[in-house]
Order: sequence, then C-alpha cells, then structure tokens
Amino acid sequence: MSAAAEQTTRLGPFTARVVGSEPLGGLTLVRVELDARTSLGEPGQFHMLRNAAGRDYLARPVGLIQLDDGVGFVVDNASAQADLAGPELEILGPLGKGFDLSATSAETTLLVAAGFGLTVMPAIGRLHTRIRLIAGIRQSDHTPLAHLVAGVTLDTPRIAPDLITEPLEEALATGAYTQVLAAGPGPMGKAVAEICQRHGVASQIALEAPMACGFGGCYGCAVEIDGTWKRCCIEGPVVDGARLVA
Amino acid sequence: MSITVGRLELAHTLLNASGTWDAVEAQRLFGEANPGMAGFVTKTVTAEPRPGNPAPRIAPSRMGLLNSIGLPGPGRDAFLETLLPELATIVAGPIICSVGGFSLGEYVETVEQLDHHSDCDAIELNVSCPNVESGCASIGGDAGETERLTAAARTATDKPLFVKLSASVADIAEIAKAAQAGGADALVCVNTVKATAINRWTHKSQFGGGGGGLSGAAIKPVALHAVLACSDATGLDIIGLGGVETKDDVEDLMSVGAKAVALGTALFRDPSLAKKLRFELGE
Repeated sequence: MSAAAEQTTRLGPFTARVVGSEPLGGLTLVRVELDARTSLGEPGQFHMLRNAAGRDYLARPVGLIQLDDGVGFVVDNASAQADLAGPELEILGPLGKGFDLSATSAETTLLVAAGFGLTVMPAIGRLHTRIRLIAGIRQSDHTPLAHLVAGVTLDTPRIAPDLITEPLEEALATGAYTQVLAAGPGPMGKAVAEICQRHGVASQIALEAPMACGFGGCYGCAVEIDGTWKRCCIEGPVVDGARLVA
Repeated sequence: MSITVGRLELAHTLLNASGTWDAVEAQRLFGEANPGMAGFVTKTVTAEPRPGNPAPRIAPSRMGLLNSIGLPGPGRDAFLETLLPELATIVAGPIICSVGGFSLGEYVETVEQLDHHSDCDAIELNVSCPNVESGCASIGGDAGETERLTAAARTATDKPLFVKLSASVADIAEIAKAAQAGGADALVCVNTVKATAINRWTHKSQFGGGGGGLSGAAIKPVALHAVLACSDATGLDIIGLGGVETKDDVEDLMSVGAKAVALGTALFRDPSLAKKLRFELGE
C-alpha cells in the first residue's frame, strides 16, 4: 500500500535497550532506545519483538508507539514484568505495509482504533493534529491508552461492550468524511470496512494476527482478505477495507 | 568447500527447510533471497492452488512452535510458469522443489513436469506433512506406499530425488529403507512432529484446520534419533533438520550422519541465522 513497504529492511534483529517502564492502567508502556540506524517505519507497519533471555521462543508482532518524547510499545502487565522487561530486547523491522497517508487530512479523515490498535494512532496524530479519533477499549483501566494519543480530537472512549460502530455510523452520516483509517481486532476491522462501504467512504484497515516471523516465511498469520486466506504480514497489516468485505 | 548430497552439489552445508522461507519476499524486504544458504528449498508444490488451512494456524510452545498451515500455494501450473522462473533469477545456488500430493498420480505428474523444467535442480518428495487430511503423511507413514511413490517418481525424473520423512511413525528406519528401495538419492529428516494445541474452553484443537506439527528446539532430539536411525539403516546422504539454532546443533546432526543441515523455525526469529552460522562454522 505505501511506498515504504518496498524499502529494504535490515536483515536480522537488532538490539534495543529498555529505558523505562510506565504503568498505563492495566497495561504497561515499555520505552526503548533505538540506535540511529533503526527505522521506525510508517504508521501501521510493525516490528517483531523478543527478549532473547526471556521465555518466549519466538518474537511477537508489535506496533512501535511514536510519542513526542520517544518510542516504545504497549503490552500487558504480565509480559512487561517478565518476558519483555529487558534490559535489552531484539527487534526486527519495520515490516508489513503501513497506511497510505497521501489523502489524509484532519477535516476529511476519521481515525478509529481499539485496543492495541490505538498504539498506531499517535504517529498519525502528530502528522495531522486535531484529526478526530473514535477509540474503543476492552476495560475501563485501559482508558489511559486512548489518552496517549496526543494532538487528536478524541471522542469519549467506548468501553466494551459498547462498540465504536455506533459513533462511526453517526460520524459518517454527516457526510463530512471521505476516508477512515482504522486499527484494531479483526471483527472490529471488518465491521468498520462494512460500515464505510455502506456509506461510500474509503477505508484502510490495520489487521491483527498472531505471527511467528513477520516476513512471510511461516504462513502462520492467515487472515481473510479478498475472500480467501492470505498472510497478514505480506498483504497487510494495512489493507484496503474493500478487500475485507468482498 | 563444496559438498554433494544425493548427487546435488552444494557450496556448503546450510539450507532452509521447505515451508519456512519465502525467497521472493526476502529479496524484496532484505535485498537477499536466501542469505547464507547454499540453495533454496521451495514450499511444497501441490497440483491445484490451495489457500491453506483456516486461522488460527500457529500456537506458541515453550520450546518451539506448533503449526497447522495446510500447504498453501499457487498450484503446479502457476509455480512452473511464474514462481519457479522468478526464483531462478534471485536465488543463490540450486533450487530444490518440494512436491506434495493427495494421490500417487498427483505427485508423479508434478515430478514429470519438474523434470523438464530447467530451473529445478532437485526434487524433494514431501511424504510427511501432518496438516492435510490425505496424501503426504499417510503415504510416508507406510513403507509400501513410500516405496511405490518413490519408485514412480524415480521413473519420472533423473534429477536428484530426495524423500522427506516424518518421525511420527512406528519405525522411521523402515520408511527410510523403503525410500531407498524406491530409488531415493537422499533423505530429509525430519518434518514437524505430529502435535496439537488445545482450546481450554472447547477441549478441541486450537487450529482452524485441525492437525498440527511441532517444530523448534523441542524436536532436536527427535531429529538426532531420526538421522542416526536412517543413516545406519540406509547409508544414504541425509539432510538433517529439526530444532537447529546453533553451531553445536549443526555439528550434532552431522556427527550422526547428516551431510547437510536445514534451518527452519529458528529463521523466524533471526532471518540472518544462516549467515551467522556459516561464519561460526568457518564455511
């Protein structure tokens, strides 16, 4: 989708130093220090993350969160205290296709994100201040995750079982938006794509899937795209929403 | 120092395991199709295009990875016409084409067509995939079927012919002897070991396609036993694989009879592993 996806990524994982760990309600923001050669990638791309001294046999895909004062990633508290505590982590990336932001503007683009999908949004918010964000979270103590996204116009976060679909329908009914950029769990992404298609609004959806490698080798991250099973790490994670409702 | 495995010449000892490396994507991402590898083993080619198994396809394990991928691929025609010629332009070293099927006829037809394709340097019969309902592992689980298939493939090609075996059988040495009797030039030991992951709520398999195979460090002892048993039983050249992560792992497999060694799951966390191991091995 984006030109950056064609770039050459460094072969092999590099080492990043953990420089801080901050509570984020029921989650943890782990801050890392990257060397100058490390590309953060484009919003929507991801990195594979692993503590070589930890218990995880394989790396896990994470979206690096780009904040005004550094970068990091958000994980559940148990992972932050155990496998991803540092002091060093192996990181491979950036990988996958990110958002195409060429037609993005704060006036006509709407952001929708839920759960860990929210970690993608600060990078977009920094480029397009005051862009509107509809946020969904699983439980009330995850609310600080939504407020990490600075510079955006944030709707009151929807806490499960309340869904983001209701405010999305209302927003698109105004006719003010021509594009939706969304990131979150699979069912949410498909619902957003369907609603956008019904309103005649373009959508880009960042998908989530468990991955073993992140670069197409394992074929493990199957997601339904174009009506069949395809690799999330190669086709996505950001795909045209129309491909999810074909 | 080059080596010869089952009549196939390789510049050194390290390969990838079939189904664990996408050379086209590696070329695009990393600028190298098969970094540090002496050749390239393709993902298993089937007669028809296959989407693979439904998600979920993978589950973590303490010392490895569980998968139920289900042989996704473009099918024989697209492989021969498009993918294989593209691989030939980007891969360093020979191309070993992995062949799967759901009947003896499917296997043989693919082998015949590969025999005529100048970009295929050797053929690996996959008779050991645990993640499809028929063919493959059901053939490799039976000595008679293995010998019949290998012999039929042998008559269809003069190219180096390898047979990839499963350790999820009663006696892998008997299957190895059957492959040898059928005319195999070399053996590949071993594929993933049959295994599953359970959904704690439904008490059924976590995988969308059922089945499942275990790879990674957990199966290195299984691979060592398989290579030793097959080497002793046949004396054939063997490509050893299963849980290889370090120089010691490579040397251990070679000490029990492997002539070349393939990397699989460990590549997932470090795609530069073959390069690092070549350096450590002094190759």
